[in-house]
Amino acid sequence: MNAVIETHSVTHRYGKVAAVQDLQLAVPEGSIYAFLGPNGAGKTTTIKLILNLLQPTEGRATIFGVESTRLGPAEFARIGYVSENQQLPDWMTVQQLVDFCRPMYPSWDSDFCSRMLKDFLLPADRKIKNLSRGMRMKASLLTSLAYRPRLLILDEPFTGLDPVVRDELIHGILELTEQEAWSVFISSHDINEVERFADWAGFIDGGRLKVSETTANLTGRFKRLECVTPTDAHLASPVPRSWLLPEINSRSFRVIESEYVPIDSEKSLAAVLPGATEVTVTDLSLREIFIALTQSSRSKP
Amino acid sequence: MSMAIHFFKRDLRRAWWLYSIWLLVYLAEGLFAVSISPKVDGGVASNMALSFIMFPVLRILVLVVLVAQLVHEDPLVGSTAFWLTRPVSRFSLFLSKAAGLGIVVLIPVVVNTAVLSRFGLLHSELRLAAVGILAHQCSFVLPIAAVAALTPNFRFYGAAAAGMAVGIGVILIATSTGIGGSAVVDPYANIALLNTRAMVAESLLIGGGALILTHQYLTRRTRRSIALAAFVAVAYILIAGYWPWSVVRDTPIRSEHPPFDPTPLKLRVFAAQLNDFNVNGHSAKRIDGSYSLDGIPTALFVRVRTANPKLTLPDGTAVETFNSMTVLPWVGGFSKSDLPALGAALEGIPVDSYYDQGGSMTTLAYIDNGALQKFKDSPAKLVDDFDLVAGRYEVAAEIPIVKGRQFEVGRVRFRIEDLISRPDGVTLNILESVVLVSPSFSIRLGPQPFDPRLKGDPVYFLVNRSRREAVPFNLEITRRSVGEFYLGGMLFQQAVEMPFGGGRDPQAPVVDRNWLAGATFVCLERVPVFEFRKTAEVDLLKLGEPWLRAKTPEILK
Repeated sequence: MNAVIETHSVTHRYGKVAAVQDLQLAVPEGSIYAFLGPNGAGKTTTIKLILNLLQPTEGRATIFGVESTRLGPAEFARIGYVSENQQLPDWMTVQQLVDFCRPMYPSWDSDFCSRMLKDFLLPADRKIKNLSRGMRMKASLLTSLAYRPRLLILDEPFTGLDPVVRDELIHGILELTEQEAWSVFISSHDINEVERFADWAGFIDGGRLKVSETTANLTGRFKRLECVTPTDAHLASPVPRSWLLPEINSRSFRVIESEYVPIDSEKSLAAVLPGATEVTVTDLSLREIFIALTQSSRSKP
Repeated sequence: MSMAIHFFKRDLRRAWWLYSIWLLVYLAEGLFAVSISPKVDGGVASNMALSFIMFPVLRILVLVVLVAQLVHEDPLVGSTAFWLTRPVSRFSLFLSKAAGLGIVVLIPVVVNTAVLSRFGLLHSELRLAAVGILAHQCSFVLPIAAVAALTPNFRFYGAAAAGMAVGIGVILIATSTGIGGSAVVDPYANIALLNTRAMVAESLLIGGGALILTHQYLTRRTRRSIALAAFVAVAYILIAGYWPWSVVRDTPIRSEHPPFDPTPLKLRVFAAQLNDFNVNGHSAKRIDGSYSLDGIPTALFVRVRTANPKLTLPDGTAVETFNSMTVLPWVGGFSKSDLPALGAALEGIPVDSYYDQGGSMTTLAYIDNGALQKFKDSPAKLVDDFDLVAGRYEVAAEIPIVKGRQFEVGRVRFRIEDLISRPDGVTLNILESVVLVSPSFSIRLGPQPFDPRLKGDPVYFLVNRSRREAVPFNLEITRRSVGEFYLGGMLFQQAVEMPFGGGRDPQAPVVDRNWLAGATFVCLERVPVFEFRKTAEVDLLKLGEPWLRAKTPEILK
């Protein structure tokens, strides 16, 4: 696997507070990597470390194999970055912004840019400062896609956008990634939006990366097990380490199995909960997996 | 390079209106400067209000906003700037900003120099002026650009700039007014040192500002840049207040073959007057007096460069005093003791004058007012070490006495504006003009690196060589001075009504039409020859009286 982004034991502290701790991340080339986590988990800090907007306290990060602290014009010409926090030159019109960005990129595709301008319904003669939040995000995306970057980094691109604009953005990104086989690294706390197109996912919480693998793998190994139990049934100890958030009621039991293996997982359930019947196995969405991981890590002492 | 040009063009588009306002103010100021006639016309107040207050204040305010706008368009602090994730190198960005700052540095040099050329400066002087203006402009633009580079936006920039200005102001005021027990500072006592401090401090602002900007643009290590800025600020305060070495003081005049042996010479000192002297709110007294040195060669005269006084009460208590130093050894007219030297410069033409033009007056000592009150009734003894400069007079220019004729001594220009006959003589209206370049350097008194030719006041005579007679101007002279501040400098002019003949000088020849027919107007300047030290003592000096009396008015040593 060729990694387009890699971090090696990256830690970043704001004073005594560690925003990111010992982060080991590898984003495969050609993937759409969803970088998920609750607010304050360290997603934006990670992206800033990757792009050399912040410097790691410890460890190192690379993009295209280049140390983040050594990123230069050659690398940034192949990276598109869109963030709700990024300052845009508000005094420019959309067209002026396009004209300003164009000479920076040898690979700038004017036809592609014009098409996006039309598809995104961006008013070329309107100043950036007079655009709505969604329009600003589209303008930012446009100037980050028009040169066909090999890596697109999106930091919370959907925050505050209405569903229609979200769909337009996602549609645009999907269409382009299919055409170009670009790598996309997208951070969000809104998993419903990204699970539609992400093929890799990473979960970060409290500055630590909990999971990083393909979505297929994640949905394959994370399953909800439910069963009917005898009255006053008790779990035998120890329960499997792969179980998350077990819940037992008077007549039922449910748990999220994070290492699901057909038959073996059912056997484990039977061993821990004798008398369990009507065992059902349900698929989980990325959102459910993310919530389970978050709640599980927070419930641990 | 192309990216630097691209960003530079973008910056121009962004701030074109600020550049335009700034340029308009500059051009208006320049046009105003060249439109008013460079003569003494009595319109000082209005000219000063416009040229010294309104234009500069407006221009500085626009510049402060313009520089911040330029830098903050691509902020170096924070992690959200647009350029940070775009394919532009820090060096290219630095170059583009340097070009933007270059405009606000170089345009003033061009406009200022053009204005100065209107006043007839020589090419060599204009080159010198351009350097001074460039330095002055850099010393302002680079520090404010550095502050902008260390702040993320105009709000922080304004707060930082205001904080720094207040902080430095408070520290400078505190150190200069003697808070903490420091003594009265005589601004003239160490004029060369004060000039040196100002120039070194200004150089530090230029160098430090450039270093901080370069460091911040090329590394974006803001904390380190701030530490560097703090170091520069502290160094600036220390240098402005405490720099010990004078680099602009006139080199002591040494001579391997002294024209005379000063040892047997007799220095006469007359303590004459006690004057009030206020410095930075401190009340002090200045003991003035006259002096003469008997026995120097005829062709030479002497002036006091520095007096190093020691004042002691009869019980042996020392009264604190401060050194005095003459701003320029050659300030003022001639003294009667100079007459032989003047005659020698005029090729033996005898020179006599009833008047002493004050050249023999000097400050003997400064004394703190508190010390004076404490010891006011006690007679004291003054022992004063004088650093003296011997010099000779030389004819700098000699022109016919004709209206409109002019000559130059260094950068000082003299023109005969009018010639008015009187029953007992003639009055020449002379216009003296000198352009002092770059306010930050040259309006200070004393030796200046950009004003090497300012040698002090000339001495004027009307000379009729065929009759072998010379007439100095009498003391009925009137002067009207105008200091006009222009871009990059100050035009200092004096309209002098200089009467020759008549007055109370019975020795003077009759200056009439016949006498003038064969006469010339002569300007003499003084040339230093030799420097030496003599000590004088005054016993029973009584302080606290308007006129001092010494039991022995002259002590020979």
